[in-house]
Amino acid sequence: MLRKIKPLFITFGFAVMVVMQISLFSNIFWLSFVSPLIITLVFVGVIHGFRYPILFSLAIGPIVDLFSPIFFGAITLSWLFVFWLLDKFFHKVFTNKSYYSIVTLVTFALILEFILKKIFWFFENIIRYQQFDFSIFSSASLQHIVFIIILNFIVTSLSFIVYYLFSNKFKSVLINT
Amino acid sequence: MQPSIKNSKFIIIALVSIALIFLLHFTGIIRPVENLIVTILKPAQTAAFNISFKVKNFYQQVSENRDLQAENDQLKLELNQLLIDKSKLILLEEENVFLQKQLDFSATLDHDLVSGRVIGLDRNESSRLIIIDKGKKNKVFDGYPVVVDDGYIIGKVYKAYDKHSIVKLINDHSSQLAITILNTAKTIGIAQGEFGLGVKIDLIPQNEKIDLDDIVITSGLEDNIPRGLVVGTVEEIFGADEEIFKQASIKLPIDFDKIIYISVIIPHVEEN
Repeated sequence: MLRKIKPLFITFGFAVMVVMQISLFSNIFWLSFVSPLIITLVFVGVIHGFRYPILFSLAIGPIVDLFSPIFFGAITLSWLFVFWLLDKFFHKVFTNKSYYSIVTLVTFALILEFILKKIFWFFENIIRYQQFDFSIFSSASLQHIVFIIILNFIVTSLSFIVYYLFSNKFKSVLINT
Repeated sequence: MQPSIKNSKFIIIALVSIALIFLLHFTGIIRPVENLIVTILKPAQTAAFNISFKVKNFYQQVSENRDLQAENDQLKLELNQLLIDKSKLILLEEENVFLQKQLDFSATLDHDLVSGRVIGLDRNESSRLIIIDKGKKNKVFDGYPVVVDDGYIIGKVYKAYDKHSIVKLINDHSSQLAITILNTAKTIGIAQGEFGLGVKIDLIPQNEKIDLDDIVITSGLEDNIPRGLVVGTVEEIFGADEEIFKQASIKLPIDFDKIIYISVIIPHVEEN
């Protein structure tokens, strides 16, 4: 019975996160930099394998695309590419599931997603307005990505601590010397 | 550790799936599904947005003196209304002079308004976009102006879906709006958003005199955007006398962080 309703719980959970990211966090200054979807999908990828984030990207990405100003499919494509790359990176660089691997992967995912969104936005401006708007790659973007990394690092760390207290799926690299 | 995704079949299936999703979206076949998802999510988004405002207001009330803030808000409302009245009077005076010269003048300034509310935001270092709960099913289409208080323009519809729309605010970096400054020369120009911080007017001829606090309105030269919607007032003028053009920054009377309720102006289509 639990197996049958588990997909419903997962769907509901992700729907809640989409609503939180678009409508709740976006209006509160510091929280607007937090990406709960990316953090959750990285956790899922590290624990269960990156096939699942790719599958979830196909399901959730189009919903987030509906509320995004970039052309439809940009977010889905970004996430597919990010999680495919993260899979390669994780298996080549890391040997276990630990705090450091989670934090590094989340940071890597956010930077990659940020760059891809900028590139898609740049091409959208060319197609829609015939404008080459290089200002979207300005130094203000650098400040923005730094904020994103710092705030998501804090949220990822807190999430890891909470998850670590209730699960044995992570190596205790944080505290084991 | 879980094995890496080496199976090229999986990757091919993922790519084919996404191509299919794009195709179904752009041909409109999955539009009923998209509309259903938006309809289901809308109440939750409205509730979440209300909660976010309460959280924001909580912090603001703690740090600000409530009495002074209330008095200040009241005075701002009165000032904003006076600015709208003043711009309407100036336009009425112009129209009166024009009508006296044109005996067969029969233009109307009527338009319909569709009221809606903000259900989400998309904000980064240069863009300022809001998501509203009205779309093509409510006759809202790309390029339509979005106003508050029936007189202040805050942006234009950037992308309209069936049941929701994305609105680009006028202080978004890529936002451009055809405006007129209500000075003696009735200077026309383009108001350009500046990295989400403000709005400026560029390429103002040096010989055209503009003063601080001159009202800036929409010029009506853009499709679907009527003349007379208030943008703001001239806050600062830049540019040396020897330059050909000068610039001006616009003081926006609306706090874009506090917008909840909006209206979209639906232009009347003239029947021949």
